[in-house]
Amino acid sequence: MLRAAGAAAVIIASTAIGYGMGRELSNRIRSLRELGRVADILKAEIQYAGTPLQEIFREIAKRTTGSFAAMFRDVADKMEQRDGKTLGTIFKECIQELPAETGLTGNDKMQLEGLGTRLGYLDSRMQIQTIERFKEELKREQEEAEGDYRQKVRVYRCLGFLGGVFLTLLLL
Amino acid sequence: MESRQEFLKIFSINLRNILEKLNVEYDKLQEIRLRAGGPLLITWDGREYFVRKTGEITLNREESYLVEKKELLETIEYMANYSLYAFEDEIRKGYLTIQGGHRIGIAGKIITEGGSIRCVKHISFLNIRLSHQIKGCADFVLPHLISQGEICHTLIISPPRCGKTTLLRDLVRQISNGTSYYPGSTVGVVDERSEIGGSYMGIPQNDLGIRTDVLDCCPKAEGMMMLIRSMSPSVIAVDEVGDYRDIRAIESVIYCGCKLLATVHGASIEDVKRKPLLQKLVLERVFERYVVLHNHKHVGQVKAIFDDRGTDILAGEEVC
Repeated sequence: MLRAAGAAAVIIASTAIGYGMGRELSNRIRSLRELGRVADILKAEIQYAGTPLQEIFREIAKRTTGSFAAMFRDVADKMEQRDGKTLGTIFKECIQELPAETGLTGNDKMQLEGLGTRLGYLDSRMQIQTIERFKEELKREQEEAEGDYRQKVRVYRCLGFLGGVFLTLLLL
Repeated sequence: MESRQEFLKIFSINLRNILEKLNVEYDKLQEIRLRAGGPLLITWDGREYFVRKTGEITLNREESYLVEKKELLETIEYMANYSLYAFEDEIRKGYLTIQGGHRIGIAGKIITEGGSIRCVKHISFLNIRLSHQIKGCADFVLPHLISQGEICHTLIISPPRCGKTTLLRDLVRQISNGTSYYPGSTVGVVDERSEIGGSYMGIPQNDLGIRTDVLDCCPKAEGMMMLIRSMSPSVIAVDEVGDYRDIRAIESVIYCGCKLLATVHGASIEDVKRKPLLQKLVLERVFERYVVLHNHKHVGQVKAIFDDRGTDILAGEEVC
């Protein structure tokens, strides 16, 4: 009886790990979509209203949820402090504090950091171009993430379950 | 004190530390000039001084603190709130106005496109002109601008840095709130450069009175017509009129039953008459009062007030 319970626990745990890995992939897709919305808000506010970045980031914080809302609120707060940091540095610091549950990869974060270093300067035409480039990059990353998801999610789930079964057989 | 601390936040950390120690009366500080590699200069109480690293003022150039290019760039980031693009229209005109109504003149490398200015790159010179709110500075002038219980169409004539915007701001406040001899009336302000109200996110940071509506960052000509159509003001106030669109809009305002308060650069009525566009208004006696300012004794000193015929209505009276 005890053996059966133990075996069930191992299988459930390893299956959960498999599902967890799959969820990380879907979180990445959701985060990249959210960043796409962020880029749309940025573009619209700069193009049509010429709104300063700090105000835009507060607006983004209101219109997004979870980790990104907190991140952009943090960026706006740090901008207000004006303590010698460039916008790029502020962005970098806040991105580092993003929780792992966003599922963003190192490369995704680098793209976001790059946006931070290029925002703010010169005229709005250049800002729009910067945001457009960021959106293109996001789109590429999103396609890659969706491909990854389709390919790997089943594998992770099956491997999780089968790994649990294999481990149980070894232990028995 | 709080406004001083808030204002100093536009400077790089190093410059902020120096200017925080500046041992001068903040209310009389008129300008701060930053030039890449050049001395840190201030204009205080009508006179220019160099600033030492310790924050003391001096007349000796050798003792002055030299502003570094990176400090200037950091200052620009803070001034524009990390969003230089948001000021691109203003920058094309050579200045930007920040929260509090302070105007920052800029110079550097000009990028042109099709013969017109697209932007200013490598900004290396800044002139920060401080806007001060001096409540009561219009106490002496306002009674002279009222005739038969109504505000007169008034043109304030003044050279730069003589306090015309400060006077206009206090006139707006007093007309809007009302005084012991004048009941308050609705005032519409077209604040093209955000200098009168110093608005932030549409809300004036300076006290413009309880019956004042402000169109912030709005071109004067369009703004005056918008106010007439939408806010039914009794008095419309605008700063620095000059181009042909402004003059046309002024003609519309005065024939709509609104009273007009406007300012213009100049030192006398004769100077104004030499400006072809304004000459017509003077000759047609559109303005019922001309207030001429200078800064011989202090900033904002009233030199004379004339009526529409050019008669000095202060003749024999002690001016302040």
